Amino acid sequence: MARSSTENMITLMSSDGEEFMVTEKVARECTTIRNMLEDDCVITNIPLPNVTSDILSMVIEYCMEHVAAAEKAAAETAEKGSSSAPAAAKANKDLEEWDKAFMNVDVYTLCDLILAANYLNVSGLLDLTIQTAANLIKGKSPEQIRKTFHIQNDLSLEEEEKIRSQTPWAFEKSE
Amino acid sequence: MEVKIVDEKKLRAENSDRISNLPDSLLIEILSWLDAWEAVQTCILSKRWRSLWTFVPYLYFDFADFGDDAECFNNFVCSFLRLRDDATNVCTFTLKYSVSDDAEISDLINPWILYALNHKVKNLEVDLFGKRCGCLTDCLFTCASLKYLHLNCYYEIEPNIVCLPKLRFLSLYGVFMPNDSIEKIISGCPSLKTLSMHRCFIAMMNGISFQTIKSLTIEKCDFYSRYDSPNFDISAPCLEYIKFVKGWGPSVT
Repeated sequence: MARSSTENMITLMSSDGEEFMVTEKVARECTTIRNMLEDDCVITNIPLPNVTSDILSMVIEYCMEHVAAAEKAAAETAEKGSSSAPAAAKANKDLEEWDKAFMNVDVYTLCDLILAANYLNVSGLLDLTIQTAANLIKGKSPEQIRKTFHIQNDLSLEEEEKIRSQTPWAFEKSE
Repeated sequence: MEVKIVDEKKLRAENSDRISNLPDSLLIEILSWLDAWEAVQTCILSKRWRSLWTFVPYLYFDFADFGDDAECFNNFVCSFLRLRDDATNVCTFTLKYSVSDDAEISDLINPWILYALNHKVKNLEVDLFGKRCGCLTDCLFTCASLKYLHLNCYYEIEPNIVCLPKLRFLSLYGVFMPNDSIEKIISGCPSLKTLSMHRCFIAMMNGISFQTIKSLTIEKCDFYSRYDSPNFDISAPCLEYIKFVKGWGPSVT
Protein backbone atom coordinates (compact mmCIF):
# COMPACT_ATOMS: atom_id res chain seq x y z
CA MET A 1 0.00 0.00 0.00
CA ALA A 2 1.34 3.42 -0.90
CA ARG A 3 1.98 5.73 2.01
CA SER A 4 1.09 9.29 1.26
CA SER A 5 2.70 12.22 2.97
CA THR A 6 0.73 13.89 5.76
CA GLU A 7 0.97 17.18 3.84
CA ASN A 8 -1.42 15.91 1.17
CA MET A 9 -4.54 18.00 0.92
CA ILE A 10 -7.96 16.48 0.47
CA THR A 11 -11.08 18.29 -0.68
CA LEU A 12 -14.29 17.33 1.06
CA MET A 13 -17.49 18.39 -0.61
CA SER A 14 -20.68 18.88 1.41
CA SER A 15 -24.18 17.99 0.23
CA ASP A 16 -24.85 21.65 -0.62
CA GLY A 17 -21.73 21.83 -2.79
CA GLU A 18 -19.34 23.65 -0.51
CA GLU A 19 -15.69 22.55 -0.66
CA PHE A 20 -13.42 22.16 2.35
CA MET A 21 -9.65 21.69 1.94
CA VAL A 22 -8.14 19.73 4.82
CA THR A 23 -4.86 17.94 5.41
CA GLU A 24 -4.96 14.22 4.88
CA LYS A 25 -4.18 13.77 8.55
CA VAL A 26 -7.33 15.65 9.56
CA ALA A 27 -9.41 13.78 6.97
CA ARG A 28 -8.12 10.48 8.31
CA GLU A 29 -9.77 11.19 11.66
CA CYS A 30 -12.93 10.12 9.84
CA THR A 31 -12.63 6.34 9.56
CA THR A 32 -14.98 6.37 6.56
CA ILE A 33 -12.59 8.68 4.68
CA ARG A 34 -9.52 6.81 5.93
CA ASN A 35 -10.94 3.62 4.43
CA MET A 36 -11.59 5.40 1.11
CA LEU A 37 -8.01 6.71 1.08
CA GLU A 38 -6.63 3.28 1.82
CA ASP A 39 -8.67 1.75 -0.99
CA ASP A 40 -7.63 4.44 -3.44
CA CYS A 41 -4.62 6.49 -2.40
CA VAL A 42 -4.76 8.97 -5.30
CA ILE A 43 -8.23 10.20 -4.41
CA THR A 44 -8.20 13.91 -3.51
CA ASN A 45 -11.81 14.93 -3.91
CA ILE A 46 -14.45 13.30 -1.75
CA PRO A 47 -18.14 14.13 -2.06
CA LEU A 48 -20.10 13.67 1.17
CA PRO A 49 -23.73 13.74 0.07
CA ASN A 50 -25.05 13.08 3.61
CA VAL A 51 -23.43 16.05 5.34
CA THR A 52 -24.38 19.71 4.98
CA SER A 53 -21.71 22.44 4.95
CA ASP A 54 -22.48 23.85 8.40
CA ILE A 55 -22.24 20.38 9.99
CA LEU A 56 -19.19 19.38 7.93
CA SER A 57 -17.34 22.52 9.02
CA MET A 58 -18.04 21.58 12.65
CA VAL A 59 -16.82 18.00 12.14
CA ILE A 60 -13.62 19.37 10.55
CA GLU A 61 -13.18 21.82 13.43
CA TYR A 62 -13.45 18.91 15.88
CA CYS A 63 -10.98 16.75 13.93
CA MET A 64 -8.47 19.61 13.60
CA GLU A 65 -8.56 20.33 17.31
CA HIS A 66 -8.04 16.67 18.18
CA VAL A 67 -5.24 16.19 15.64
CA ALA A 68 -3.50 19.33 16.97
CA ALA A 69 -3.81 18.07 20.57
CA ALA A 70 -2.38 14.66 19.64
CA GLU A 71 0.50 16.30 17.71
CA LYS A 72 1.30 18.56 20.63
CA ALA A 73 1.37 15.62 23.03
CA ALA A 74 3.59 13.62 20.65
CA ALA A 75 5.98 16.57 20.25
CA GLU A 76 6.29 17.00 24.02
CA THR A 77 6.94 13.30 24.48
CA ALA A 78 9.65 13.39 21.78
CA GLU A 79 11.27 16.47 23.31
CA LYS A 80 11.45 15.22 26.87
CA GLY A 81 11.89 11.54 26.09
CA SER A 82 8.75 10.77 28.04
CA SER A 83 5.54 12.62 28.65
CA SER A 84 5.20 14.22 32.04
CA ALA A 85 2.06 13.03 33.78
CA PRO A 86 0.85 16.46 35.03
CA ALA A 87 1.33 18.06 31.60
CA ALA A 88 -0.54 15.21 29.92
CA ALA A 89 -3.34 15.46 32.48
CA LYS A 90 -3.59 19.21 31.86
CA ALA A 91 -3.66 18.71 28.07
CA ASN A 92 -6.44 16.12 28.50
CA LYS A 93 -8.39 18.47 30.71
CA ASP A 94 -7.99 21.32 28.21
CA LEU A 95 -9.27 19.09 25.43
CA GLU A 96 -12.22 18.01 27.58
CA GLU A 97 -13.03 21.67 28.23
CA TRP A 98 -12.83 22.35 24.51
CA ASP A 99 -15.17 19.40 23.80
CA LYS A 100 -17.60 20.68 26.39
CA ALA A 101 -17.65 24.16 24.85
CA PHE A 102 -17.97 22.59 21.39
CA MET A 103 -21.13 20.80 22.55
CA ASN A 104 -22.85 24.06 23.36
CA VAL A 105 -25.25 23.67 20.42
CA ASP A 106 -29.00 23.40 19.94
CA VAL A 107 -30.55 19.92 19.84
CA TYR A 108 -31.15 20.18 16.09
CA THR A 109 -27.43 20.68 15.42
CA LEU A 110 -26.59 18.02 18.02
CA CYS A 111 -28.69 15.41 16.20
CA ASP A 112 -27.14 16.36 12.84
CA LEU A 113 -23.68 16.02 14.40
CA ILE A 114 -24.61 12.55 15.72
CA LEU A 115 -25.65 11.50 12.22
CA ALA A 116 -22.51 12.99 10.63
CA ALA A 117 -20.18 11.47 13.25
CA ASN A 118 -21.85 8.12 12.66
CA TYR A 119 -21.69 8.36 8.86
CA LEU A 120 -18.08 9.60 8.81
CA ASN A 121 -17.21 7.23 11.68
CA VAL A 122 -15.45 9.71 13.96
CA SER A 123 -15.60 7.64 17.13
CA GLY A 124 -14.56 10.40 19.54
CA LEU A 125 -17.15 12.82 18.18
CA LEU A 126 -19.84 10.12 18.13
CA ASP A 127 -19.22 9.28 21.81
CA LEU A 128 -19.19 12.97 22.70
CA THR A 129 -22.46 13.78 20.92
CA ILE A 130 -24.24 10.62 22.09
CA GLN A 131 -23.23 11.34 25.68
CA THR A 132 -24.35 14.94 25.35
CA ALA A 133 -27.76 13.78 24.12
CA ALA A 134 -28.00 11.27 26.99
CA ASN A 135 -27.15 14.01 29.49
CA LEU A 136 -30.01 16.08 28.10
CA ILE A 137 -32.37 13.18 28.94
CA LYS A 138 -30.91 12.43 32.37
CA GLY A 139 -32.88 13.67 35.34
CA LYS A 140 -35.86 14.83 33.25
CA SER A 141 -39.46 13.72 33.32
CA PRO A 142 -40.91 12.34 30.06
CA GLU A 143 -42.71 15.66 29.52
CA GLN A 144 -39.48 17.62 30.00
CA ILE A 145 -37.65 15.28 27.58
CA ARG A 146 -40.34 15.84 24.92
CA LYS A 147 -39.97 19.57 25.39
CA THR A 148 -36.16 19.50 25.19
CA PHE A 149 -36.10 17.53 21.94
CA HIS A 150 -39.44 18.74 20.47
CA ILE A 151 -40.68 15.15 20.44
CA GLN A 152 -44.22 14.96 19.10
CA ASN A 153 -46.25 12.77 21.43
CA ASP A 154 -48.44 10.72 19.09
CA LEU A 155 -49.76 8.55 21.91
CA SER A 156 -53.31 9.37 22.95
CA LEU A 157 -53.98 9.98 26.61
CA GLU A 158 -55.63 6.55 26.77
CA GLU A 159 -52.63 4.87 25.14
CA GLU A 160 -50.24 6.57 27.53
CA GLU A 161 -52.36 5.53 30.51
CA LYS A 162 -52.45 1.99 29.18
CA ILE A 163 -48.66 1.81 28.97
CA ARG A 164 -48.35 3.19 32.48
CA SER A 165 -50.84 0.70 33.89
CA GLN A 166 -49.28 -2.23 32.01
CA THR A 167 -45.79 -1.41 33.24
CA PRO A 168 -46.31 0.26 36.61
CA TRP A 169 -42.89 -0.91 37.80
CA ALA A 170 -41.23 1.36 35.25
CA PHE A 171 -42.76 4.48 36.72
CA GLU A 172 -42.96 3.68 40.43
CA LYS A 173 -39.51 5.03 41.07
CA SER A 174 -40.06 8.63 40.10
CA GLU A 175 -43.65 9.11 41.10
CA MET B 1 -31.71 39.40 4.75
CA GLU B 2 -29.15 37.57 6.83
CA VAL B 3 -31.29 37.97 9.92
CA LYS B 4 -34.16 36.30 8.10
CA ILE B 5 -32.02 33.25 7.23
CA VAL B 6 -30.93 32.85 10.83
CA ASP B 7 -34.54 33.13 12.00
CA GLU B 8 -35.70 30.51 9.53
CA LYS B 9 -33.01 28.14 10.67
CA LYS B 10 -33.87 28.76 14.29
CA LEU B 11 -37.53 28.17 13.61
CA ARG B 12 -36.75 24.93 11.81
CA ALA B 13 -34.61 23.88 14.76
CA GLU B 14 -37.30 24.69 17.27
CA ASN B 15 -40.08 22.84 15.56
CA SER B 16 -38.32 19.75 14.37
CA ASP B 17 -38.32 16.45 16.21
CA ARG B 18 -34.86 15.67 14.94
CA ILE B 19 -33.92 13.08 17.56
CA SER B 20 -36.81 10.71 16.76
CA ASN B 21 -35.57 10.58 13.16
CA LEU B 22 -32.23 9.12 14.19
CA PRO B 23 -31.90 5.41 13.33
CA ASP B 24 -32.68 2.86 16.05
CA SER B 25 -29.02 1.98 16.57
CA LEU B 26 -28.12 5.56 17.51
CA LEU B 27 -31.12 6.04 19.80
CA ILE B 28 -30.23 2.80 21.55
CA GLU B 29 -26.68 4.11 22.00
CA ILE B 30 -28.08 7.24 23.62
CA LEU B 31 -30.23 5.13 25.96
CA SER B 32 -27.14 3.04 26.80
CA TRP B 33 -25.74 6.00 28.73
CA LEU B 34 -28.75 6.12 31.04
CA ASP B 35 -29.57 4.19 34.19
CA ALA B 36 -32.03 1.35 33.53
CA TRP B 37 -34.95 3.23 35.10
CA GLU B 38 -34.26 6.33 33.00
CA ALA B 39 -34.01 4.28 29.81
CA VAL B 40 -37.30 2.45 30.41
CA GLN B 41 -39.24 5.65 31.07
CA THR B 42 -38.59 6.82 27.51
CA CYS B 43 -41.22 4.25 26.44
CA ILE B 44 -43.99 6.83 26.83
CA LEU B 45 -42.31 9.66 24.92
CA SER B 46 -44.04 8.63 21.69
CA LYS B 47 -44.77 5.55 19.57
CA ARG B 48 -41.26 5.79 18.11
CA TRP B 49 -39.74 5.33 21.58
CA ARG B 50 -42.17 2.64 22.77
CA SER B 51 -39.82 -0.38 22.75
CA LEU B 52 -36.34 1.09 22.11
CA TRP B 53 -35.28 0.52 25.75
CA THR B 54 -35.73 -3.23 25.34
CA PHE B 55 -32.72 -3.35 22.98
CA VAL B 56 -30.21 -1.54 25.19
CA PRO B 57 -27.13 -3.75 25.75
CA TYR B 58 -25.78 -1.73 28.70
CA LEU B 59 -27.73 -2.38 31.90
CA TYR B 60 -27.15 -0.32 34.99
CA PHE B 61 -29.19 -1.06 38.12
CA ASP B 62 -28.50 0.99 41.22
CA PHE B 63 -30.46 0.39 44.42
CA ALA B 64 -29.51 3.88 45.63
CA ASP B 65 -31.90 5.30 43.01
CA PHE B 66 -34.80 3.52 44.68
CA GLY B 67 -34.67 5.20 48.07
CA ASP B 68 -34.07 2.04 50.14
CA ASP B 69 -37.27 0.44 48.84
CA ALA B 70 -36.01 -3.12 48.25
CA GLU B 71 -39.38 -4.42 47.06
CA CYS B 72 -39.67 -1.70 44.45
CA PHE B 73 -36.08 -2.27 43.26
CA ASN B 74 -36.44 -6.08 43.09
CA ASN B 75 -39.68 -5.78 41.19
CA PHE B 76 -38.09 -3.27 38.84
CA VAL B 77 -35.07 -5.45 37.96
CA CYS B 78 -37.19 -8.61 37.57
CA SER B 79 -39.73 -6.86 35.33
CA PHE B 80 -37.05 -5.09 33.31
CA LEU B 81 -35.23 -8.34 32.53
CA ARG B 82 -38.48 -10.18 31.80
CA LEU B 83 -39.67 -7.60 29.25
CA ARG B 84 -36.28 -6.85 27.72
CA ASP B 85 -35.68 -8.17 24.18
CA ASP B 86 -34.37 -11.68 24.76
CA ALA B 87 -32.37 -11.79 21.52
CA THR B 88 -30.27 -8.73 22.41
CA ASN B 89 -27.06 -9.66 24.18
CA VAL B 90 -25.86 -7.82 27.25
CA CYS B 91 -22.56 -5.97 26.87
CA THR B 92 -22.31 -4.48 30.34
CA PHE B 93 -24.28 -5.43 33.43
CA THR B 94 -23.84 -3.39 36.58
CA LEU B 95 -25.67 -4.18 39.78
CA LYS B 96 -25.16 -1.91 42.76
CA TYR B 97 -27.11 -3.14 45.72
CA SER B 98 -26.30 -1.81 49.16
CA VAL B 99 -28.61 -4.00 51.23
CA SER B 100 -29.08 -2.45 54.61
CA ASP B 101 -29.51 -5.62 56.66
CA ASP B 102 -27.64 -8.91 56.58
CA ALA B 103 -30.24 -10.56 54.39
CA GLU B 104 -28.66 -13.16 52.14
CA ILE B 105 -29.81 -11.89 48.79
CA SER B 106 -28.08 -14.46 46.60
CA ASP B 107 -31.38 -16.27 45.86
CA LEU B 108 -32.70 -13.00 44.54
CA ILE B 109 -29.72 -11.75 42.55
CA ASN B 110 -28.39 -15.06 41.17
CA PRO B 111 -31.15 -15.18 38.50
CA TRP B 112 -30.20 -11.62 37.45
CA ILE B 113 -26.52 -12.59 37.21
CA LEU B 114 -27.47 -15.72 35.27
CA TYR B 115 -29.52 -13.58 32.89
CA ALA B 116 -26.42 -11.51 32.14
CA LEU B 117 -24.21 -14.60 31.78
CA ASN B 118 -26.74 -16.27 29.46
CA HIS B 119 -26.82 -13.12 27.32
CA LYS B 120 -23.05 -13.22 26.71
CA VAL B 121 -22.15 -10.41 29.07
CA LYS B 122 -18.67 -8.93 28.57
CA ASN B 123 -18.41 -6.59 31.53
CA LEU B 124 -20.01 -7.62 34.80
CA GLU B 125 -19.98 -5.67 38.01
CA VAL B 126 -21.74 -6.90 41.15
CA ASP B 127 -21.29 -4.40 43.92
CA LEU B 128 -22.92 -5.31 47.22
CA PHE B 129 -20.67 -2.91 49.12
CA GLY B 130 -18.93 -5.69 51.02
CA LYS B 131 -22.21 -7.01 52.39
CA ARG B 132 -22.81 -10.70 52.96
CA CYS B 133 -24.85 -12.17 50.17
CA GLY B 134 -24.87 -15.96 50.50
CA CYS B 135 -23.32 -17.76 47.57
CA LEU B 136 -23.22 -16.39 44.06
CA THR B 137 -23.66 -18.77 41.16
CA ASP B 138 -20.57 -20.77 40.13
CA CYS B 139 -21.51 -20.00 36.49
CA LEU B 140 -19.67 -16.71 37.07
CA PHE B 141 -16.46 -18.70 36.67
CA THR B 142 -17.31 -20.52 33.47
CA CYS B 143 -18.52 -17.69 31.26
CA ALA B 144 -16.87 -17.69 27.83
CA SER B 145 -17.76 -14.07 27.00
CA LEU B 146 -16.63 -12.35 30.20
CA LYS B 147 -13.79 -9.81 29.79
CA TYR B 148 -14.21 -7.72 32.92
CA LEU B 149 -15.42 -8.93 36.30
CA HIS B 150 -15.75 -6.89 39.45
CA LEU B 151 -17.17 -8.51 42.59
CA ASN B 152 -17.58 -6.56 45.78
CA CYS B 153 -19.35 -8.86 48.17
CA TYR B 154 -18.66 -10.86 51.24
CA TYR B 155 -18.73 -14.50 50.24
CA GLU B 156 -16.66 -17.58 49.84
CA ILE B 157 -15.46 -18.30 46.33
CA GLU B 158 -14.81 -21.96 45.86
CA PRO B 159 -15.66 -22.86 42.28
CA ASN B 160 -15.21 -26.41 41.04
CA ILE B 161 -14.06 -25.24 37.65
CA VAL B 162 -12.74 -21.89 36.51
CA CYS B 163 -12.82 -21.31 32.76
CA LEU B 164 -12.82 -17.64 31.81
CA PRO B 165 -10.84 -17.67 28.56
CA LYS B 166 -11.43 -14.00 27.70
CA LEU B 167 -11.19 -12.44 31.15
CA ARG B 168 -8.64 -9.59 31.14
CA PHE B 169 -9.63 -7.67 34.24
CA LEU B 170 -10.57 -9.16 37.61
CA SER B 171 -11.30 -7.09 40.66
CA LEU B 172 -12.31 -8.74 43.93
CA TYR B 173 -13.33 -6.93 47.06
CA GLY B 174 -14.05 -8.61 50.37
CA VAL B 175 -14.22 -12.20 49.11
CA PHE B 176 -12.85 -15.33 50.75
CA MET B 177 -10.70 -17.63 48.67
CA PRO B 178 -10.20 -20.80 50.69
CA ASN B 179 -8.16 -23.89 49.78
CA ASP B 180 -6.85 -23.71 46.22
CA SER B 181 -9.35 -21.12 44.93
CA ILE B 182 -6.75 -18.52 44.04
CA GLU B 183 -4.68 -21.04 42.07
CA LYS B 184 -7.80 -22.25 40.28
CA ILE B 185 -8.79 -18.72 39.35
CA ILE B 186 -5.33 -17.81 38.08
CA SER B 187 -4.95 -20.97 36.02
CA GLY B 188 -8.50 -20.66 34.66
CA CYS B 189 -7.96 -17.12 33.34
CA PRO B 190 -5.27 -17.41 30.63
CA SER B 191 -5.86 -13.85 29.34
CA LEU B 192 -5.81 -12.07 32.70
CA LYS B 193 -3.85 -8.81 32.58
CA THR B 194 -5.11 -6.90 35.59
CA LEU B 195 -5.82 -8.39 39.00
CA SER B 196 -6.96 -6.30 41.89
CA MET B 197 -7.77 -7.71 45.31
CA HIS B 198 -8.94 -5.58 48.21
CA ARG B 199 -9.68 -6.83 51.71
CA CYS B 200 -9.79 -10.43 50.56
CA PHE B 201 -8.96 -13.48 52.64
CA ILE B 202 -6.73 -15.72 50.61
CA ALA B 203 -5.42 -19.18 51.35
CA MET B 204 -2.08 -19.82 49.70
CA MET B 205 0.48 -22.51 49.25
CA ASN B 206 4.07 -21.31 49.62
CA GLY B 207 3.79 -19.04 46.65
CA ILE B 208 1.91 -18.24 43.54
CA SER B 209 2.79 -17.38 39.99
CA PHE B 210 0.84 -14.78 38.02
CA GLN B 211 2.12 -15.64 34.54
CA THR B 212 0.09 -13.23 32.38
CA ILE B 213 -0.56 -10.38 34.79
CA LYS B 214 0.74 -6.91 33.98
CA SER B 215 -0.97 -4.97 36.73
CA LEU B 216 -1.34 -6.34 40.25
CA THR B 217 -2.95 -4.64 43.21
CA ILE B 218 -3.13 -6.34 46.59
CA GLU B 219 -4.58 -4.08 49.19
CA LYS B 220 -5.22 -4.97 52.83
CA CYS B 221 -5.64 -8.64 52.03
CA ASP B 222 -5.13 -11.35 54.60
CA PHE B 223 -3.12 -14.30 53.42
CA TYR B 224 -3.02 -17.44 55.36
CA SER B 225 -0.88 -20.42 54.67
CA ARG B 226 -2.12 -23.90 54.26
CA TYR B 227 1.30 -25.04 55.44
CA ASP B 228 2.05 -22.57 58.21
CA SER B 229 4.68 -20.93 56.10
CA PRO B 230 5.80 -17.51 57.37
CA ASN B 231 6.35 -16.08 53.88
CA PHE B 232 4.84 -16.30 50.43
CA ASP B 233 6.57 -15.84 47.13
CA ILE B 234 4.75 -14.14 44.31
CA SER B 235 6.21 -14.42 40.85
CA ALA B 236 4.88 -12.36 37.98
CA PRO B 237 7.20 -12.23 34.97
CA CYS B 238 5.09 -9.80 32.90
CA LEU B 239 4.44 -7.34 35.70
CA GLU B 240 4.50 -3.63 34.80
CA TYR B 241 2.63 -2.21 37.78
CA ILE B 242 2.28 -3.38 41.35
CA LYS B 243 0.62 -1.86 44.36
CA PHE B 244 0.84 -3.62 47.68
CA VAL B 245 -0.70 -2.39 50.89
CA LYS B 246 -0.12 -4.70 53.82
CA GLY B 247 -2.95 -6.41 55.57
CA TRP B 248 -2.74 -8.73 58.52
CA GLY B 249 -1.18 -12.16 58.41
CA PRO B 250 2.19 -13.34 57.11
CA SER B 251 4.36 -11.17 54.89
CA VAL B 252 4.62 -11.51 51.16
CA THR B 253 7.88 -11.37 49.25
